[in-house]
Amino acid sequence: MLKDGKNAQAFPEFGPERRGAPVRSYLRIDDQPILLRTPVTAPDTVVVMDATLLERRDTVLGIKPGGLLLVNAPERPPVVVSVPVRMAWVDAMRISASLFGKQIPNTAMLGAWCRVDGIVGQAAIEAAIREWFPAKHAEKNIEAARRAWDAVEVAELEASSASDTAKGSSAFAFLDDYPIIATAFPGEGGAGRTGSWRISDPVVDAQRCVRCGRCVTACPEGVVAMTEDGVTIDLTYCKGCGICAVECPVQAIRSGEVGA
Amino acid sequence: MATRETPFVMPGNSSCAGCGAVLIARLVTEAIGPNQIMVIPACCMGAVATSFPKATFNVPVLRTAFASTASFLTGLEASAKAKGQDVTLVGFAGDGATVDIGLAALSGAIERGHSFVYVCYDNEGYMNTGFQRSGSTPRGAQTSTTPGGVLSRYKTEVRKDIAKIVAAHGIPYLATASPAYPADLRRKVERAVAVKGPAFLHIMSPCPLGWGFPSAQSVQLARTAVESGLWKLYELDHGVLRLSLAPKKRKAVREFFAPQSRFAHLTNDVYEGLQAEVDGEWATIEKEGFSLRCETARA
Amino acid sequence: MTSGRNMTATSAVAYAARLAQVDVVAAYPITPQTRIIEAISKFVADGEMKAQFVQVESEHSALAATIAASSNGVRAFTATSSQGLLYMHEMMHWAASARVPIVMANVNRAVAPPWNIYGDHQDAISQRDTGWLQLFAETNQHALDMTLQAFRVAEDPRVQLPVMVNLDGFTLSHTYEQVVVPEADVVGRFLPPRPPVDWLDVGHPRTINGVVSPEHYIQFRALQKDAARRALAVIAEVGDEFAKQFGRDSGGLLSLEQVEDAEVIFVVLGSAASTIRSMVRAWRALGRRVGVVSVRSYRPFPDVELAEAVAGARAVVVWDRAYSFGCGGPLAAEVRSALYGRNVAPVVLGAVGGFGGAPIGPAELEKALEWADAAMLGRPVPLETWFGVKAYRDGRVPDGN
Ligand SMILES: Cc1ncc(C[n+]2csc(CCOP(=O)(O)OP(=O)(O)O)c2C)c(N)n1
Ligand code: SF4
Ligand code: SF4
Ligand code: SF4
Ligand SMILES: [Mg+2]
Repeated sequence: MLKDGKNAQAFPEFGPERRGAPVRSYLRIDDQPILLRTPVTAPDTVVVMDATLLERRDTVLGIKPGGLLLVNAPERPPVVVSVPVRMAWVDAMRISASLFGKQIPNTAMLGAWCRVDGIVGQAAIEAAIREWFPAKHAEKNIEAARRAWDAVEVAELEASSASDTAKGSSAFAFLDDYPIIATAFPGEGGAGRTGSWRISDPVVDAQRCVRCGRCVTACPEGVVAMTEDGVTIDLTYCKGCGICAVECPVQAIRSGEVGA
Repeated sequence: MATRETPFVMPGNSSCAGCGAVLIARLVTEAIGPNQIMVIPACCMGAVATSFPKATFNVPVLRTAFASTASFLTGLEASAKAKGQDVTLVGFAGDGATVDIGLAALSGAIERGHSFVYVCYDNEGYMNTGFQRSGSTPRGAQTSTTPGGVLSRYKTEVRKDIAKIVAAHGIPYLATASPAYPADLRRKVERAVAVKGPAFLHIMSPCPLGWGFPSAQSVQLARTAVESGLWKLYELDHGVLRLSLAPKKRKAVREFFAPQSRFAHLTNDVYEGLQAEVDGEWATIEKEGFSLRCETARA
Repeated sequence: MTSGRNMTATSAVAYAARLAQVDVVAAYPITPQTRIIEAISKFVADGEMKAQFVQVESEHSALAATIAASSNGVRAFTATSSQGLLYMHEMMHWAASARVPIVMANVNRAVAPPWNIYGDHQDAISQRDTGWLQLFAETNQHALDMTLQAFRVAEDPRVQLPVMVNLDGFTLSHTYEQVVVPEADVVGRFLPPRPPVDWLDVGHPRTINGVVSPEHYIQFRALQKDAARRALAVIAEVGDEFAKQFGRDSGGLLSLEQVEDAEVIFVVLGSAASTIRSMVRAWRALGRRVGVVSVRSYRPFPDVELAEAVAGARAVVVWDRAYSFGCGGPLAAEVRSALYGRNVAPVVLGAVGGFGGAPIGPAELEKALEWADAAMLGRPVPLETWFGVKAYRDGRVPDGN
């Protein structure tokens, strides 16, 4: 941005960081100095780094009609929006995996965004990458941006009447019940469906399992249960830490692809 | 109330994937059962305790200020006595809250002999605020306030041994534990609940985020710490000191340090020095038996 | 002639805690508060009081333990002074925002450095914005009576906030005077047991005072604001009821003496009001129209009532025994603000003094009245005067005199 003579302001959603937990960051770009210091509630553009987050209603909440929704996804993601938007997608995971051997989709997403949004030029992006990364990584990252520039696909998305983007009024129901102090009652999924944090699924081989129960004890989330049918894992909340697989004495749990 | 259907620690909470502390919280609360009140100060588990308006722990939790775990336990014990209430009071606090800012309160509460179980989950730093050093951070560790640079070399000081500090109070029950030894941990928690007066549990709590290792290795790393002789499992029950486990063939200490990015800068000669130190300690234990004497100041 | 026993205000507070049948007292000693907790520990040791008394290892812990006990539903009390109160500061906010109805006696004392153990109000005023309700006693009897009333106010479902009863160090804490100690059964009728609280019910677990988001946070602050405002009516109501049952006016929001036709009105907190009353009576005998307002409830601040009381005067002398450096006397600022927007308002003069036990006596008060007279005659006068500040050897005086 700065390379194109614009002003930019970037900040994360403030709070303690947790590994794997979804995070939201905000970016403002303007020709004028930026004075507003509040979170962006009506974005022109929403960039979704992980397509599983589209399950959460609040991910695209507030996007402007005609806005841009850019998703890191191997194919056209099934998205329902309440206003018409331009949707773009690119398989940034595959691009980064082939270039770096790791899933770091950031610069690929940058390249795709640069193409479909167009408010910052490709030359400025490449100059910024050169400045940010040490020389030995810069060229590969520029290559990632270029490949994504070429690969990104775009489609116009109609508004769907089925989608409900209104904010739930239940968020303040606690006021009626417990009016004096902050009172929280035990409930699962306080941090959302933490299963979406997973980058691999624990898969149990019932044949191998000797029902020792170690995985049940060692799972930090407490989502492994021993039932009559053997070991079951609640994938709604399993964060995919992989401890159960490491702790299993007979290697009856392995890491499989998400949702496989 | 927690039952088989509604667990003690609710899934879908905000702890990091592979967090040792939340695993310890589950093992401890399960071992104590529903008749408990927990006090949690500012720390990672304090942040994890609520995703308002949902709570993570299925027992009553009274959140408190960073320094005030033991003073809250003091006030709760007094109120329970006044009401004739029979309930286990549990403090669940990080190492910073215990060995640093809350040490005076802890010391006072133990000296006064109130009945409670104080659990220090030790992830060896201020994790909730982004991995700064604490008095319990081991020497050599890189933290965000011992970053290492041209002039300074990571954490240069030896950690406080909180268990020994607590032992010096003549506490009725004290034990160290590890999430890699859940049966041992459970037995110690049950013993801590049973004794009259204060009980203190010091539990190693691997932190994948702050220590920099893959989350799958959390429990294994805690085990390696014990098997290499670095983290000693013992208990002190009314003056009787017992080693819970003496690893027969000790693993190299390197196996504990090497997977962690906070120790990535350690060199071979440092490893040799650390190995010699641990070997020396165990040689003494084998010769003279296990004791809580103070090691001579380490260079 | 009042009947009663000769005792200090600290003993009177200890009797009040006993009469209130508090369940838990957690405290840490500091001069001039010590007598309170010594007396309570002796009551407990002698079986005259059933409370759990815990002498903890610091004031931070004293207040923390009191908060925890109160969260578990019992009646809890603590007492401190000066450095001790400052050491509690983190938990002061905690207590108010956790909505625990604890009562604390604060024996007002100067804060260090330099060290000084005598009375002023810097300790209490520095806790002004913690959310505590603050009452100020004028006499030893008030110290006892206000402590009982404080529990009623704190535990009132409309309020649910902690209350600090302030009593001036030495002037009250170490001065013997007649105090009527009411009968236990009469007090029992005035102050029934605390309503039950289920916050820590093991059968219905919940987590209290945890992390909340910005949108939720302000909700709780708004609730707290409303409760503190509602306390105005509750304090007045409880004061009236106390007066009816015990025949003594020792509570309420303000105590007014001869203000109706007064040209000059003094406004003050705590025991200095009593000295000023004696001066007012003497001045009246000389035909001077002077009155005094003793502010009994500093938080909540009875701004409307106070403005009504002083609006008809020509000059108001507000006496501050605390200071907001770089700004002015805190009470004076609040009186000015209470008068803001009136068509006709008296000039408000900020008298500052009585720090670290320095007297607010006849000499200072005569000088203050002359100052008010000059202001009434329209002469240019300073709006703030520090009393008791001596000139340097070369004749210079510190600024402000
Ligand atoms: C009085 C005070 N000082 C500082 C903080 C900021 N703070 C919150 S949690 C924390 C670190 C907690 O460390 P520890 O007790 O080891 O728990 P962990 O987060 O590592 O689990 C700090 C410094 C605070 N909340 N209160
Ligand atoms: S990967 Fe295994 S141990 Fe980790 S949360 Fe999922 S089930 Fe539990
Ligand atoms: S640890 Fe392995 S063998 Fe044991 S119960 Fe779990 S899956 Fe089965
Ligand atoms: S930072 Fe460490 S201790 Fe804190 S929640 Fe994450 S893994 Fe657990
Ligand atoms: Mg820690």
